[in-house]
This record gives sequence, C-alpha cells and structure tokens, in this order.
Amino acid sequence: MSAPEQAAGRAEFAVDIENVCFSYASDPGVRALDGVTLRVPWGQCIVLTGSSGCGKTTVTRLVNGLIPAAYGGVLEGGVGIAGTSLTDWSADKLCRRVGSVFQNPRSQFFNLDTTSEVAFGCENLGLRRDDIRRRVDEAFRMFGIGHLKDRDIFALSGGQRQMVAIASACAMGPDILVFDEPTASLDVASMRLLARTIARLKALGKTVIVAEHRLWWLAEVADRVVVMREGRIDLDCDASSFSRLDAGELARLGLRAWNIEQTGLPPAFLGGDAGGVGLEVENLRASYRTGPEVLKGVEASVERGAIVALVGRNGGGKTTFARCLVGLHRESAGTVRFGATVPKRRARPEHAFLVMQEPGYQLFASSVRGELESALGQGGSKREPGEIDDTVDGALERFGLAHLADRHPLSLSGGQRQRLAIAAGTSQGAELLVLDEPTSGLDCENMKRVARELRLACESGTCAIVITHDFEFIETACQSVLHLSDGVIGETFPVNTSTLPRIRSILGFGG
Amino acid sequence: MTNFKHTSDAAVAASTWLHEGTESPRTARRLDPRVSLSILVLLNLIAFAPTNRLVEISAVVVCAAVMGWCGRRSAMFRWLAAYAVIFAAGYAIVQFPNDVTASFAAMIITFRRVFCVGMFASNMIATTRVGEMASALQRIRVPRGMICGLCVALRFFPTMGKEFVSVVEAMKVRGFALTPASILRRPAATVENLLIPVMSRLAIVADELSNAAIVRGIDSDEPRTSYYDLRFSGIDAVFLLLFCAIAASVALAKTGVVA
Repeated sequence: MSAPEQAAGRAEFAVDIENVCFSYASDPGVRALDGVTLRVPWGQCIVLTGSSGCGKTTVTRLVNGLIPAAYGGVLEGGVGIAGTSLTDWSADKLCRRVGSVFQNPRSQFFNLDTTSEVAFGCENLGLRRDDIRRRVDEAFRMFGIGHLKDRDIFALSGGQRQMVAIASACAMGPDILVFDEPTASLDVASMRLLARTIARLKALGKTVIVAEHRLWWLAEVADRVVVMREGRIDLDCDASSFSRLDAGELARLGLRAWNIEQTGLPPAFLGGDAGGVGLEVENLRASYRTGPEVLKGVEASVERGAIVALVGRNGGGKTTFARCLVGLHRESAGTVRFGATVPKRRARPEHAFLVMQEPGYQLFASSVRGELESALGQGGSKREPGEIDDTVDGALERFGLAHLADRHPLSLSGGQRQRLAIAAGTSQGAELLVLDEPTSGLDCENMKRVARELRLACESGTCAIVITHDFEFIETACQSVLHLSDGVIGETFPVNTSTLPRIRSILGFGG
Repeated sequence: MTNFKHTSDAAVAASTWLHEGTESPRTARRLDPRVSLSILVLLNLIAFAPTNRLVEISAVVVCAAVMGWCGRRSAMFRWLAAYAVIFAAGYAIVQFPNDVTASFAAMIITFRRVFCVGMFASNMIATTRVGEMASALQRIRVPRGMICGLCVALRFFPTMGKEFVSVVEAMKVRGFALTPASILRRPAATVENLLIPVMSRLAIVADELSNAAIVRGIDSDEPRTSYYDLRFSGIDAVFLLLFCAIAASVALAKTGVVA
C-alpha cells in the first residue's frame, strides 16, 4: 500500500485550507467555519479539538469531501487536498486519497461480515479481484487483526469494529486519514489500541487528522494540536508545547485532560450523607440462555443520595448487572432491595430508572412538559391534577428545561434529551437512577453538566449507579467506585486523592 | 451469544432477533446466492398456486434440510415447531366450522402458503454474505443502484430489529409495559410510542450510513467488481433439483397431468 504519486511533483501540503468560511445550507445564518487557515504537512498527525459545535467536524468534512458531496452550503476561500482544489476532485478520485473513520461503529458498516466490509470500498472502485484480495489481506495484516477476518460484525466489540473500519478505509489505499470522534463508544483499552494503530499509520507515512474531545489517548502520537472555538482556530501549536499547558489553561479552553493524571477538575470527594441504604443487592446471579453465568453472586449496597461509578473490563457483567437492577434481565437468583421494599422484577421500573446511552429512545410524549407529566403519572405515587402541574413546573425549573417546555423531545439536542430523561426518571419517583455511559462523546463542559445534573437529581435522596469508563467524570461526579470483575464486586472504595491511581489502573490506564 | 456481553451496545439488546443476527452469517456452509435466489423465486410461484398438503410439507422439509445442512439446527427446529403449531391450529379450527373460525381458517391458510418463503428467506439472509449476494446480482446484470440499495436494505434488518428492541426496553423502563392487554386497549398510542423513536433513530442512522457510503466510493463511475468468486457445488444442484421437483409437481397438478 505505497502512497501513490508521493515521489514525483507532490504538493507541499496534504491539506491546505486557506481562509475558509462555510455555512451549511440547512443553517444559512450561522458560519460553521469563520476564517479558518490550516496547513497540514504530509505525514503529520494532527488533533482537532474544541467544544461541541466548534467546527472541527466541518473541517473533517472538507477534507474527506462530504462537503460538498453530502452537505451543501456556501464555501468561501480555498481548500486544497493533496495539491488539488476540493472543487476539482471527483468523488471517485478523492476517496482513493482520503480515508474516513466515523464516530458510530454501528452506522458505518454496509456488510454483516468483516471481510466483505473491508473489500466493499475496493469493489466500488472497480478494482480487479486479485488486487482486492491482496489489499484486503494486507489491511488485516497491517493492523494485526487477522483473527477478525470473516467474522460477524455485530458480534464484535466496539474497539474491534473501529479496527475493521480503519482496515476498510486503508484497503482503498489512502494517504490521508480522517477520524471524526473515533472513541465515542470505546473503553480505555480500545482507545489505547486505537492510539497504537494511529502510530502505525504514521509510521507508514500517512497523514492523520483526528477530531476528538478526549485527548489523553493522543498524547503519545499527536504532532500538533489545533483548538477551535465557534468556527475559528483558537490555538494551533505542536504537541510538545501543548503538553506544557497546565490543567487550568486547558480548563479555560474548555478541553479535556491531556495528561490523565492531572485533570485539573474540581473533584467531588463528598462524604456519604448516610441517609440510609437506598439500594441493597444480595447474591445476584444471572446468565444468558445456556451461556456461562455472567453475574456470580453480586453483593452491593448504595446509600441514598450517593453517586456510584460501576467500573470494570468490558465483559465483566456491568451491563447485565444494570439490566437486572431495572428489571430488563431476569436474574437466576438473588434479591434487589430498594429501601425496605423488595419489588418483583416486573415492578422494578417503579423504583429504578435506566438512562440509556441514546435517550432519544425513551422519550415518548409530544412535548417536554408532557413527558414529565406522564412520568409523574407513571410512578407509584398518585397525585391531584393541580399538584401535577406544580411538580412539573418545579422539575422543569430545576433541570433548566422551562424554556423548552413546549418543544418536541426529539427536536432537542442530545444533551437536552439526556437531561430530560434524567428529569423524567426522578419525576417518576425512581429511587435509583442507572446511567449507561452518560458521557461518551461529550466535551468537557457537557461532561461537567451531566455531573451537575446528576447531583441535582440525587439531592432528594435518589441514588445513582453510573456505568462509565470516563475517569474525568468519575473524579468530578462520583463518591465511590464499585469494581465489577468476573461477575462479582471485587472491591468497593471511596473516590479520593489516594484512590485515584487505583481507579486509573482499573479503567486500564498505564501499565 | 458469548460475544454479546462484551459490547457496549449490549445495553440495548438481548432478544431473539439479535440472537438470530449474531449466530448467523459466518456458518461455513451456504448455498450459492444465485441458487438461493432461484429457489426463492420458485417458492414464491408455488405460494401462488394451489397445492396439496403433501407438496407443502415436502417443501417445508426440504427447507429444513437446507437449514440443517447450513448448520443452523436450532433455527431449523424453531421453524419446524412453528410450522407444526400452524398446521395443528389449521386442523383444529376446521373441526368447528362457523363464521368466526372461517376468517381465522383463511388467515391460517394464507400463513401456511407463505411459510416456506419466509423460512427459506430467513435462512438465506442469515447465511449469505452481503458481498456474495452483490456479486451474484452483478453477474446477472442488475443495475448498480439496485445492488447498493439491496446491500443497505439487508444490513438494515438487523439494525431495525435492534432499534425496536431498544424502544421496547425503553418503554419498560418508563413503565409502559408492552402487554397484549395494553396493546388492545390503546393500539394507536402503542404504535406511536414504538414508531416515533425508531423512525427518528433510523433517520439519523440513514444519514450516517449515506456519509459512510460516499467516502467508500459508492458513487464511483467504474463498473463494480467483487471480492468473491462464486462457484456452483454439487449440493447446490441437489437442493435446486429438489425444489424444482416440488415446483414441477405443483405445475403438473395444476395442468391436470397428475391428480
């Protein structure tokens, strides 16, 4: 997979963006990019970062040609990819030079098996069969994922799927690779694998552009960091001078940690309020069909008002545990007690509420207000109509949703939906909130927002269990950590200065 | 199913549908996609023609044999059990002929008619690689747009299944349990609750998929090629002949050559 045309008369820059302004056709009043100049030399690994909506995804779309192929709009200024102006590239030729890997591994695959998927791009380009075979084999070998050949994509883990996505992009032989938030659904181990893969791409001489919120995993491989804000470039420096910025400066830029040992976040470190036990789990056992036992006697107890992180390797049973708690999975043995009551499995939704990774699924009413009204009606407590109005107003106010009261839930942004789901859960009178990776793919500000909202929800005595791989979130929001491994709770300990290294090592940092 | 718990998507999953999806396509043995498509066409034709029980049962048996040969035994037993239930229900209902049972009986007969089509198609989707299917269609000169459309459609079924499972689970979490009683009491509300989140999700997925398609060269002007080199095998011929024989017996019965 030698990069074509590299030797003779090659352009100076892989990407040459010169004073570009762009506004999307769908949102003509807003400049998504506002005077951006960015030159990327060949072989450089560059990180684009900044809060949501800062324009970093728009830059990646200029590079891979999705603007103008999929997104129309008004483009001013010059965009050169490998020396040719963006407007002169045919889609055909451009996708041979620029490979793309996207955020959601679920929606970038066309095939159900990995081999067909890696071959797919080459087939579209009309390459000969023996050429396709050679490229497919090479792509699997290049990243050491030969064992993933001929597998069912739906049975792979998130990290493995991203590896297949990278192999698929590389099989087309690009010399520029664009990653748009590739780690949104990955755990720490997979993120480190991705970092090694990018190092490999660099060693092969590829130019790599990564748009990303979480930064620590790129510290080893990035050559240069570009921080964007509101469509402009705020800071553009090489990685070594970026690494000298202290945590406070990163926080001012609204960025996540570069060095995970110095997050600069105000830690929660709250003592337990000892408001009594909110949730108690005894000897919980569960399995899938005829498979081996996933939970092998989980014991846990969570105090009222506490926010607890549930951590552990993927496959250790975190998700199954959460599903049992909210009654979605039938356990084979054990008790789940909320306060003093031990509800039947089917009645558990009255006590426990799951905030899903994609909260759009769990909003059903036609307005934000209606959503909270129906949540109030749903819980165990029956109220008078007037009382419902007051309570709904209170909840809207508390969660900062009052100005959105009449909007349709599906018209809200992702963050607002998540907030509404949390509000609905507390309105429903849940004694336990279970959150599944609530901060995956969130920037620093939004991550802190989730922490704030969760604290708000727990003020009234609700307790929360958060499945997470996000160290920065645990540090900011959680009081203690439950470590689930091999189907049992290995250890439980509070979050404080002395336990932070232990938490990092459980999550898979270092080592 | 063991891999399922390693994925973070697992939170929104665990259903029969998903189970079918993950056990599937990588079985070592499968029919040539061109043979599968031909058989599917034959089965569709048979479904329209009047048949007798013997023909119907033999078609189900051959479908089951295909499933067994492909190594999908549990699916085979499930489909056979389903057929037995439908068959028994049809038999039971004609014992009590009246106005009410008549409509049920008609429904069951229709169901039995299309049963084989469903059975064979499910096996085809579960065992055929999308790439091989595309290759087969290219050989018979199906236009590129249709092939890509079909690839995405095939890929959409498991996705859609997952989306529905997620929404049903979300409803349970919100306390709107989906029971036969609740569906009968408020059918419109149930459909609304189920469909609106799924539709909005699918719109997002469709956007993301089309982006991924563009950067993978789906709009290329080059004629599409294929990774797979398809070859007929003996077993393809055997199953094709068996289904042809069934179709022939239907045709002969229809034209009155045999009783």
